[in-house]
Amino acid sequence: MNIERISSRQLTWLIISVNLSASMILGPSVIIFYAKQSAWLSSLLAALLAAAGALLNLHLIRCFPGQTVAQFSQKLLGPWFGKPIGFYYSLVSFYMVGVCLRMISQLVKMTLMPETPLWPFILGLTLLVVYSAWLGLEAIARANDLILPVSLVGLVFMLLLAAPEGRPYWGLPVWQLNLPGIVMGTFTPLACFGEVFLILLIAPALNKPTELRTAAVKGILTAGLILAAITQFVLFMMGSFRASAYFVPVMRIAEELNILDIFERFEPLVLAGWLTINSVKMSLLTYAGARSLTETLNRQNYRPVALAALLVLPLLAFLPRNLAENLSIYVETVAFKILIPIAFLILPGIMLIIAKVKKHA
Amino acid sequence: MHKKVWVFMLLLACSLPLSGCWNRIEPEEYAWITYVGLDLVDGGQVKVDVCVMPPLSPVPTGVAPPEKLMHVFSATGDTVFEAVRRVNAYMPKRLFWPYLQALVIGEKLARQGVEQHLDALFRNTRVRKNAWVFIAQGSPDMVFEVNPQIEKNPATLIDFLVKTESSFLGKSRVIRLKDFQQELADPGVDPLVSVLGVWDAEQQKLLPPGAAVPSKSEFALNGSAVFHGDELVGWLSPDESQFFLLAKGKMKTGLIVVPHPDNPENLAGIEIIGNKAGLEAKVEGDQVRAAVKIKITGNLGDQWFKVSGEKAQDHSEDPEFYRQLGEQLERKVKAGVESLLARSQTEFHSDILGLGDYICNRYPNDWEQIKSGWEEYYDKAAIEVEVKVNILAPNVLRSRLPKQSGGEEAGT
Repeated sequence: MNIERISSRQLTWLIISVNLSASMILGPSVIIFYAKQSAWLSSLLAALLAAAGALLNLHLIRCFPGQTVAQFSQKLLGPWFGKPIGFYYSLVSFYMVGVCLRMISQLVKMTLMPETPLWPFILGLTLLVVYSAWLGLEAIARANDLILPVSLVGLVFMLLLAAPEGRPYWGLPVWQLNLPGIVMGTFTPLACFGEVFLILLIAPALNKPTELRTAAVKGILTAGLILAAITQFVLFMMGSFRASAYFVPVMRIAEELNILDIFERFEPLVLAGWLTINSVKMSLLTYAGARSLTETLNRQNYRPVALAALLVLPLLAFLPRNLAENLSIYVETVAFKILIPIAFLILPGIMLIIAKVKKHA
Repeated sequence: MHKKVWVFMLLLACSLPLSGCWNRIEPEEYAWITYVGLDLVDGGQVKVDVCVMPPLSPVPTGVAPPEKLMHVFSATGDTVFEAVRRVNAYMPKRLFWPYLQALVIGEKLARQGVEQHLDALFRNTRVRKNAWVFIAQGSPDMVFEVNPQIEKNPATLIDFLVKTESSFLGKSRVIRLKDFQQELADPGVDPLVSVLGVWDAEQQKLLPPGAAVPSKSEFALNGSAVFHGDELVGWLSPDESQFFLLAKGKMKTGLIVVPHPDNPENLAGIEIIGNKAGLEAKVEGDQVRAAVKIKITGNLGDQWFKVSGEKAQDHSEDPEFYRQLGEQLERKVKAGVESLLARSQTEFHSDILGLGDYICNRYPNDWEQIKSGWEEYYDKAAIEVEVKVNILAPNVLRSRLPKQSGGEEAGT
C-alpha cells in the first residue's frame, strides 16, 4: 500500500483543525453555561485531559511502529478480535463525519439560508470531503496549511473589530471558583478533543515518527488555548446569560458587529472559516475511516471504500429528524458518551494493557 | 468513452447552480421594514405596526422620490409573530427585516412585560439586532404619523436623531436591540430605554400621549423609561437620564449648567467632552456596598451674568477658578446621581446601574447566596458616589472677561 507522508508541523495543524472544528461551534455556549467566568479553566482542563488521553494512544502506537490500529489490532488480538476493532474505528470515523455534515449544514441553513433545504448542503459537502479523501492525506494536509491560518485570522479579525463593545468584567477570571461548574463545562470540549483518536489511524504517515508525540500534544494544547481564548472572548462580549442562550454565540457577535453603522453582518466570514475547517476534519476522518476499513479487509487501495462513503455519509447525516435529535441523541449521547470514549480511551487502554502483557513494547 | 461520460457528468453538475439558489428573492418583491411598533390592544392581543418604505437609490437618479415614504401596516395576533404574519393578509410583499431601524414599544405592553413579546425578534436571525429600541408614552401609533420636515428619509431619520442626541445632548438612554436583550436576560441589571415622542413643529412643543399629530412634526427623545425586570415601572426626566449616563460613563458630550463660582446668581455652562465611570460592588454581611466613581472632563461653554456687562476684576486664567468651576459641577452631578439612585431604590426598585451584574460576574459565589432576594439587597444597598471633574479650557475666550477701563461697574 502506498504510504503518504506528512510533516510533524502538518500533523500539529491537522490536530488543531480537528479539535477546533466542533468545539468552536458547540463549546463556548455549553462551557459558559456551566462554568461562567471560569470557562477558560474548563477549556484548558479539557485540553490537558485530552493530551493525557492522547499520550495513552501514543504509547500504544509506539508499541507498533509504522502500523495503524486496523493493522496492529489484528496482530495483537488475532483476526477474530482485531478485525472488529478496525471496523469500529471506520464506523466511528464515518459516524463523526455524518454528524458533522448534519451539524454544519444545519448551521448554514439556520443562519444564512433558512429556506434552502438541507440536502444540497449535505450532498455538496459529501462530494467535497469524498473528493478530498480520494486525493489523500498529503492533499488534505496541504489544504489545511492554507485553511487553518486563514480561518483563524478571519475569526480574530472579526473578534478584534467587535472588542470595543465588550465589558472587561464580564470576561475577567474570578477568584470565586465554581468547581462543579468547571468540571461540568469540561465534558463537551473534552469529547470534541477526543476526536484526536484519529492519530491511531494516520500516525504511520508522519515522516519523522520520533516527533509524533510532540506534534500531537502540541496540537491538542494549542487547540485548548485557542478555545479558551474564544470562549473567554465570547463572555467578554456577551456576558454569561446571553452567551449561553444561543447555540453559537460567536455567530451572534459576528451578526451584531457594527462598524461605523455601514458594515454589518459578518457571519458569512465566520461561517466560511468554520465550514472550511470542518471540511478538513471531515475529509481527514473520511480518509482515515476508508483507510482503516481497507486495512481491516486486507486490501491495498482505499479509494473504492472512499467512494462508498458517497452513499454512507449522506445516509448518516439524514438520520436525525431535527436539531434536538441531532444534538441530544446523535452527538451528545451516541458520539460523546459512547463512540468517542471507547475509541479514544477504552479500546486503546485495553490494547495497551494486552500489548504490555504480551511484551510488544 | 469513460472520460467523455465523466466530462458530461461534470458539466451537468456545473449547470445545477446556474438556476440560482432557493433564497433568491428580487428586491422589488420585498417590503423594507424601517420601524416596528408593538403594543397591546383590548382583549390582550398584540398589535404590530410595520412601517415600510420603498427602497431609495443612494445616488441621485433624476427621479423624484415618492411623496410619502412611510407606509404603516398593522395587524393583531395572539403573539407578535402571528401578528407580523397577518400583516401579509393585505400587504402584497414579503417583509424584509435586515434594515430595521427602530422598534417602538407601547406603554401598555411595556408595563405588562416585554421579554416574551420580543422573543420572535430575538430568535429570528434576519431581524437587525443593531436597531434602536424606544418606548412610547401611550400608544406607538402617533409616532408613525410623524411628518418629518428636516430629514425625510425614515431609514436615516432615527439614526440621525439618536446620534445627534448622544453626540450633543446626552439626555436620553438610547439602546440597541442587542443590548436591550442583554439587559433583559441578565438578572443583575434592569434596562433603561429611551422614550420616543412627537414634537409639534408648529406649536414648538412636545405632544402629550394620544394627541393629534400636526402636519409638521418631528420625532423627539424625551428622557428614559425605567424597567424592573422586563416591566416598565416609571419614567426618568431628561436631566435624570443625563445623570444616569454620567454614572454609566456613557456621556459622549453634553451641557450642564452650574452656579458660577464668582457669584451663585450667575451661571456657567460646562460642556462635557469626556466621561468615564467605574462601578465596584461587593457583599459585606447582609448588605451590598457599592461605589460609583465618575470622571468628567469639560470645557467652559458659556457664562451668564445676572447683571448685563458684569466683568471680572482679575482677568488672569486662575487655576483656582477652574477648580471651583469643577467643584460646582461635582456637587451638581453627585447630588443628581445620588437622587437618581435613591429613586431607583425606593420608587422603582430597579438596579439601573447593574450592581447585581457586577457582583454576579466578579463574585459569583456571593451572587448565588443573594440572587433570590436581590431586590431587597438592592433597595438597602449603600452606594457611594464620587465625582471628579477636570475643566480643561474656556474655549477661545478668557474665562473671566476683563473689565475695560471706563466700562460698567461690576454688579456685585
